[in-house]
Amino acid sequence: MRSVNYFDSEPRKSSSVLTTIATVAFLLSPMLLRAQNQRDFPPKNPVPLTTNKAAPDIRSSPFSPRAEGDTLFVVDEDPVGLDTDCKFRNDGPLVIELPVKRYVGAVNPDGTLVDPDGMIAAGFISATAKLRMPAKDIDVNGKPVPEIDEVYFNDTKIGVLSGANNAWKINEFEVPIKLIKFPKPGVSGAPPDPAINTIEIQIDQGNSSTGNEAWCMSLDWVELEFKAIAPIFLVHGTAAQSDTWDPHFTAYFSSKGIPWSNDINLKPNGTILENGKLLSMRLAELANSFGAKKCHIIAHSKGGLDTRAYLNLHYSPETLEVVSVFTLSTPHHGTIISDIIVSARASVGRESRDLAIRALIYGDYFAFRAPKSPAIDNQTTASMAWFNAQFPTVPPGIHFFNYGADADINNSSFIEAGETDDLLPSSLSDDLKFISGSAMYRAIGEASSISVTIGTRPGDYWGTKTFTSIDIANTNSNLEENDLVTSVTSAESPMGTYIATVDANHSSMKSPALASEILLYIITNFSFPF
Amino acid sequence: MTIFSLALILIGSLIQGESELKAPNPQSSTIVEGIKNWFEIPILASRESNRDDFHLIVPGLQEDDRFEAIRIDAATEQQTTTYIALSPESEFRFFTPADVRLNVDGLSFCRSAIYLVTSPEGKGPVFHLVDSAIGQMKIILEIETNERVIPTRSVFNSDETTEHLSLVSADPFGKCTAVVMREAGGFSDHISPARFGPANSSQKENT
Repeated sequence: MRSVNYFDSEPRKSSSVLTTIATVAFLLSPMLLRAQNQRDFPPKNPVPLTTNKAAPDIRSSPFSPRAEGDTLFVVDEDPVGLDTDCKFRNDGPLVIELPVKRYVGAVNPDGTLVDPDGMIAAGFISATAKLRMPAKDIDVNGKPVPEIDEVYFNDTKIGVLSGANNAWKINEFEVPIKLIKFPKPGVSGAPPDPAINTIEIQIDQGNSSTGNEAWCMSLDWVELEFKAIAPIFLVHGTAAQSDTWDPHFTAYFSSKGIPWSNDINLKPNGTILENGKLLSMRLAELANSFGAKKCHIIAHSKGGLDTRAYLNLHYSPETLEVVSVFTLSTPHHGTIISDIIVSARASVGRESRDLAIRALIYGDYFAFRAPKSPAIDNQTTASMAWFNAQFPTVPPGIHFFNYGADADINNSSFIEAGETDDLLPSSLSDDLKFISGSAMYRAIGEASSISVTIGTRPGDYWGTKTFTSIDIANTNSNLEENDLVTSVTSAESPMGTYIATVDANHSSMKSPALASEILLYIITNFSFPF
Repeated sequence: MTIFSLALILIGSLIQGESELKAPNPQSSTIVEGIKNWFEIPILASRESNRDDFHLIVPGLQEDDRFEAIRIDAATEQQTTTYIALSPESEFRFFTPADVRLNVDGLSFCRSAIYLVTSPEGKGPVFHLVDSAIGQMKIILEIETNERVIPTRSVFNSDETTEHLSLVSADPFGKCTAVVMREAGGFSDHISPARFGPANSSQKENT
């Protein structure tokens, strides 16, 4: 029991009385020292306590706070509320400002979450946050009136401190997430402006009615920890930019109010290696603007290869830890479409005996050659062979998942006009969609490799004519499922886990249903990656 | 007027041309032999143990799980065919994107281009704003406060300036910068030392 008795210090006139008091005081000094923080009210000579900031060594308790993370925030130094001497009620409440620096989802102007209940129900954020603080000298068993120190979080009472006389104890409180103020994302890669949360300790409220100031206390530091989904970043593929995720993925993630971004614009036709480097820089910027140290990545098509280059060559988990990667129809083993187009573009007098390849060659010509080199060169089956040999894995700890897609939704072995939606222009006639789609489906499904033969033959009218014949060299034993760009076999990476084949083409697979499935997967497995 | 504008855009989209790359110092350009059957752009790699050469690796795994490559001696530019194995443990390190920029002596502007199909976005026909260049295009390597023109090429109405920069890569050990590009008759490999040598342009630039 630590209590203070403020003795009347008025000088006595009688020296004998003074001598007696001095003698008694000397004899009782050990007891008096123990009881020195209990005082009569009102004190005649109150000790000034308002500026009693701690000494430079701010560790006043035997406990140390944990290191800050992106869901754990610590305040260890506060001019008013922390590392003080023992504070009484009349010294005013202890007030500590705790900055939260992580964007977790849509917020109101005051920083509280727009839809906390919905986010909690969906598993995007924990229902409560844990507030921890070491408090000293909390006399919950004090007599006659015990010490009652009320704790307020942003003006809402969340409990009272507990402890024992003259001892430090870590107090923990569950703070409803709806009380917490979170920041908005930072602008242009800057970190978010911290949202200030206020913790207030109303000291010795049990004696407020009596007017007696009996108990004092102090705090060392404050921690606030919650659980929240790591941001999801969307990486586009070849000949595309961030709007490749419009409208379905962007609308879906916007509607969920979670931290996410598709604001990643790599070189549309850049190499895998250079886009990997650009991705590394852009992800760091985005994560910084969210105040996040962890993230999930969803990558479409070549975006998955760019992501693999980033993870193999530029990954720094100290800067940003990638929890999971989902690749959507990424040609991890290349695509025969690239083989055909790259060969055709590099050739003179290109031709083919195969109807499907011929359709692709002329289709590419009339499409004004998009996508371009060098991106398309990087996605040939040959190019992916060296990439997979050199980078067969991703760094340990990263969960790597793959989705493929099959455009032949009705299993007719042909591609109907409706099965080309989002991939071929709606302005094309249904017949053209059928011919083009079926040619692409057959070329990818049947050919496991192509042959390129360069030769000359007599010209149609005079001289000789150089030709390059691009044909199927080896066929697959069965027609391989594919999404008109990437085969299901190629969509399965050398590492990681293949999740499922979606009934869709290369573009239409970016559907709300798949966005929902991936988000559910993240929530179920990695929503709170502590 | 609308028809005239559309016709202009269509013609502008169709008529374009690019000459072959030219190195300011012809001796810094290497034509890679034995590339008749190469269709993809080769990969450049250096070895940690021997920095006097580098390799152009032919995409495509051979039956013995090795890759065909052309070894180029940095000093003599002698080319030899070799076969190498790649793995995370291999000593080969790939050339990385180089810090270069592109200048155009002539006209550089944005123009409309019509795309009949935007693949794989499923849009089309649509108009895109693309960069266009007419004149002498120079790829410029910047080292500290100095800069050097690596290769140049004449372009007319070219909308592939960004793609050109993608083809410039730097040796991971800082020896040289390279531009590998398909030309008529094969791939050319324009090598530029990473450090600035004497200001004698006729002096051979070694890798």
